[in-house]
Amino acid sequence: MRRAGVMRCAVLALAVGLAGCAAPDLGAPLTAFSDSIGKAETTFAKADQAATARENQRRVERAVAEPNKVVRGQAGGGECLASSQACSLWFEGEPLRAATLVGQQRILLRELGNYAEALKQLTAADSTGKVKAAADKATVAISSIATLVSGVPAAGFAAPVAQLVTWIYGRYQDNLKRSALRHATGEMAPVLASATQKFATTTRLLILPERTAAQRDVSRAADAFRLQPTPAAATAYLDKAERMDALLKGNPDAVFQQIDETHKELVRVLGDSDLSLAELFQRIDKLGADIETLAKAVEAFHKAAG
Amino acid sequence: MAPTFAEIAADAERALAGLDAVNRAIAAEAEAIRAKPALTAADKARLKELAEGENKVLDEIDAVALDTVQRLDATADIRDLIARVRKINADLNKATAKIRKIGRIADAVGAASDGIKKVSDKLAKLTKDG
Repeated sequence: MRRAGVMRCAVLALAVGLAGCAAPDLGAPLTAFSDSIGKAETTFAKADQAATARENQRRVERAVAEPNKVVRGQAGGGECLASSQACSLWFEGEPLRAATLVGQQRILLRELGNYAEALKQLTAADSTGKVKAAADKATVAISSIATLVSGVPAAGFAAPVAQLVTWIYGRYQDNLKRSALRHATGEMAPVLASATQKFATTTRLLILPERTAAQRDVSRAADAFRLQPTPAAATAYLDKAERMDALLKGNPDAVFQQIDETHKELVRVLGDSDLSLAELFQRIDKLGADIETLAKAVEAFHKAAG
Repeated sequence: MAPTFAEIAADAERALAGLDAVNRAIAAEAEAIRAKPALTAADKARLKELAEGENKVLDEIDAVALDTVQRLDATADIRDLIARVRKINADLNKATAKIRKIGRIADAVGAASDGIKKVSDKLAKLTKDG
């Protein structure tokens, strides 16, 4: 019963040219997902950079107000000597100059990039060619021994068996991929929803200092123009207003929403592939006559190899 | 217990809403003065005061924003998300590694089969010659 099932699978495979169960084409949504993470990384890094510059300015202002609190080294001393290992300046438990304000979230974004890469790698991984080559060689070797032992030429039966092995492996690999992709995307969906929401919140705060700086510029230009209304003052006022307008029109939330949306598309494509697989099997089920033919051929091989 | 990402963000939102109200009030008064056809010395002095007030409010907005992002970044929520994504990535990489390992095993099987075929051919030749 079980052997008949395997043979039936082999015929199904042969009937569709061993290509019946290909993994769903995730190329386009994977590329879109990867691109959206890349854009988000750029947006986030730029916002962090600008905010960090403003924060460092604040730290210097605080240090100027309380110079006695500036110390060498995190532990409050021991650095910046000829015999030291490092030299850094600290103020109230923080480095006087920060490299980033959102180091953990940048790590999270990088891990999301790694996730996109891992999806690509899994989708591209394919050992069917190697398995087919091995199966071809193995069956040739086995049929050669079978011929030697039994005296009956068995080479004619080698090809169907090699195809059977290749097809079974193809099914196994396809199921492995589908299962891993479904599991990963399913697990990732709530993580992404939460992460993108948090990135959007953080980015709105990161870009605030840039917006307040722009407001200061516009207000100073407004006063200057009102007190001395010259063409140069009018132009300066207009320039500042236009710069601020561009800043205000930027929507960092959209960048993070895009990540979530493209991931949902990935999940959708994976879900859709179920339907096409089911349809494929329905079509294959109609090829009953071929099943019998191959079953006989394989039985004959078994007898010959005996 | 340390505050969550959502709690810190909600606190900041409330603080920023209050500061925004002050910011808008200052901007409205300054705009009203700038809209006058002619400015008196008192208007000019008031504009200067409002500019200083605006600076202070904007400094305060910066402080809330910058302090908040650093607190948000240090929350357990972010560490938890990193751990979850890393776990998912590890599972994906494990599946990929499995497929690649099968490819390496298949290479080995192919090589072994070549050897078997050679032995078989030699045996066949010996049988024929023998």
